[in-house]
Amino acid sequence: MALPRKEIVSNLINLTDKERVIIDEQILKESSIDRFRKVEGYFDTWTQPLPAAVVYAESKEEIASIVSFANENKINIVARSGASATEGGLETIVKDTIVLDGSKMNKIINIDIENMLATCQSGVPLQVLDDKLREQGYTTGHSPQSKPLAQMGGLVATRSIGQFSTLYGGIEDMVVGLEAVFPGLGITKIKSVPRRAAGPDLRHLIIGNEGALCYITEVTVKIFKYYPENNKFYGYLLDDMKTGFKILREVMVAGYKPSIARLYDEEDGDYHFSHFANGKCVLIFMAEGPQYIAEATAKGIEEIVGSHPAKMVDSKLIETWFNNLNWDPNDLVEERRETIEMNNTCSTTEISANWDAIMDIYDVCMKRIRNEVPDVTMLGAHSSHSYLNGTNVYFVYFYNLDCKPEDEITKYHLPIKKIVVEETIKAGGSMCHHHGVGKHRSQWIDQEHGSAYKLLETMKKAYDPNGIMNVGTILPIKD
Amino acid sequence: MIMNILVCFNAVPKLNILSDTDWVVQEGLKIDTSFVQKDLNPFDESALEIALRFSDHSKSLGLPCSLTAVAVGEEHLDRYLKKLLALKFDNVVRIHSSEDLRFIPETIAHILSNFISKQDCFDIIITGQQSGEGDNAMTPLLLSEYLHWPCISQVVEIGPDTERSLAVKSEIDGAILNQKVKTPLVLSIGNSPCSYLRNPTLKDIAEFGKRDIKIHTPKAFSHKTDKNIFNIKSLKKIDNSRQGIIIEGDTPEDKAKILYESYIKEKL
Repeated sequence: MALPRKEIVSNLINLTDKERVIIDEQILKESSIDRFRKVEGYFDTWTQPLPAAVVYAESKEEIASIVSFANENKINIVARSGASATEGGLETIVKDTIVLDGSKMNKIINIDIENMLATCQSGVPLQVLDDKLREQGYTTGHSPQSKPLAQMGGLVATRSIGQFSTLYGGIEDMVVGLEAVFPGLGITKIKSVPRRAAGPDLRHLIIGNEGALCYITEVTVKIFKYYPENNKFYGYLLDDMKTGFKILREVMVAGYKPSIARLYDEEDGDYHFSHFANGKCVLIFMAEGPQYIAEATAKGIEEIVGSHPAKMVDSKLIETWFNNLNWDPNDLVEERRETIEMNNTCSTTEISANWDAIMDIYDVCMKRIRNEVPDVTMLGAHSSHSYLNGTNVYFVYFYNLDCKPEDEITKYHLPIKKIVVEETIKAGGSMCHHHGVGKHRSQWIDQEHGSAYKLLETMKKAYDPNGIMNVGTILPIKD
Repeated sequence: MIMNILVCFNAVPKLNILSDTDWVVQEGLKIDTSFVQKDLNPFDESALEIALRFSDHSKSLGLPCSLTAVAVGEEHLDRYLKKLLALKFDNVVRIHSSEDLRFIPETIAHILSNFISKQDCFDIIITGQQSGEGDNAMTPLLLSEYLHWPCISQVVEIGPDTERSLAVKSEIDGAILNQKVKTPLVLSIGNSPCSYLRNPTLKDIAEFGKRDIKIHTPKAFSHKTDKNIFNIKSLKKIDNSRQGIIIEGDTPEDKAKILYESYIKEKL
């Protein structure tokens, strides 16, 4: 029999202390969603079951005891750190969920210059870690737009990626060691070594698990020498996306590793670069690293782009853009005001595909969204992460809200997402490039993985046999 | 009778993006902001949205009204004018000028007043009270003076009344003044709660946004005036930084106690 809400709360207080078990109704409401349902939050409309409590854990032992308690009593846990998730992963879709917040576990445990490693608790904000490293001439190399808000546990849990990924990789390329709490297995540590061939790489059970298998308590990442003085910025105007994808491919195939390689279509280019885009597509590169590498990368980019019809713009334009990349809490406040006053909101969906499919996916999605979804006020896209084999496309769309706040998702966001996801899967791409599956793309997860889907199901059954870890995330709830 | 409304607007660089090292006062006391993205001047953005709301409201009451937008400057303004066309402004006009008109409100006001006089059709002129660049807050007042029309400043809201009058809400000495006023007049928009311009749908962009922008040369609205009212003597960035202290303590209670004992108590 399900434990009554009151008892859940009193047990949580016994396991931690009263001050860190929050049952304030407003906080519970705000903790029942993430940015996927931001419109509902902005308009003070709450559709999700309220969690029983938000618990601020202070140690891995507390996390372990709470996970154990939840496992014994079959209580759903939503793992949270910086709360910047965008795909519904933090939604408490089950009654009396425990929102287990690790943001007070915010100690940088060790910066090990000899071995080029930084170890921290899961609640350390990336911005704090990276600022600390930069003071010493190092960097994590990780720079998602959410950098000022996101924390290390959440970044690993969602398989985050940063704007310099072409050089440094995604979070999966940066994580060396991990510690996590699995229900029934307790605290589990994966040691930090440069490489090993000791069976499957267990880190990948944890990276990207979105709180559906375990709770991440500690993260060890690589650190890199930081050479901002060598940064070189390039910007070009192009007539079409096809040329842009072609250039991106050539740069990647040639073996260059610019830290930034981004391509914006006309609409998205106008949104970000209205002062110089002039109705064209915008292609951006940044070369960084040790002087000789940065110079060689820059030279290679210049040579490749020079062989295509592309007009170079002043690098100062790109440098200024680069210096104002990330969101901060003020931007979130501004976004809220703007949404409420204008009755207009923005959402995104990001996918990836091989080079031979990406242009077709881009084209068909743009066409279908334009034709099939009402009230759209802006529809654009950009590629922000490229690889040897392909690239991603990040669709950005604004729409007027001609509906009740609680209907926004079904009237606009999900129909657009459906178009993007279905067209991508049909073309052989991946429906999630870097925001994770959350709760709103889980309906397509079997199609995403095909015959490999059974591995995912088996993992879930093995590591979370009672199904208490973030129900409905990655794997959909079965009727 | 149709009420003809003209909204005058400008686009300004996002100055908050400029870093300290970018803030270089160049020859002629200018600062290069060409590498910074521009946006609608916030007060003008309010003015445009207020005009649209007024138009919607008027039309719903059976009072027809026509909206025109005008901007003075180069091609970068066209993207805003196209957006206004998509938002169903009846006419949009750009008076082409390559001159740097920052800090010269009398020239802008002369160009606009000459344009308004030659068109001889407008009943209401709406514009933001000041620009993000220069912040002289002179343009609407000078415009009113040159046109010999009354001006209401610090306007926050307007509403329809009759074919030749309207309701105007403005701020005055911390209070709100509600007036019914006759046209013609100039309205200078202040801190209105209506701060964002709505967005047109893709459908409206396709249907209405492709219409032509009327481009005029400044010659048509010759703006030779007296000498500049103001001459800039110097430009200096205002340092808005504040000192911050992080109070360390084990619990919120400890921190509150330190805050009280060390910083607040002596001031009480």
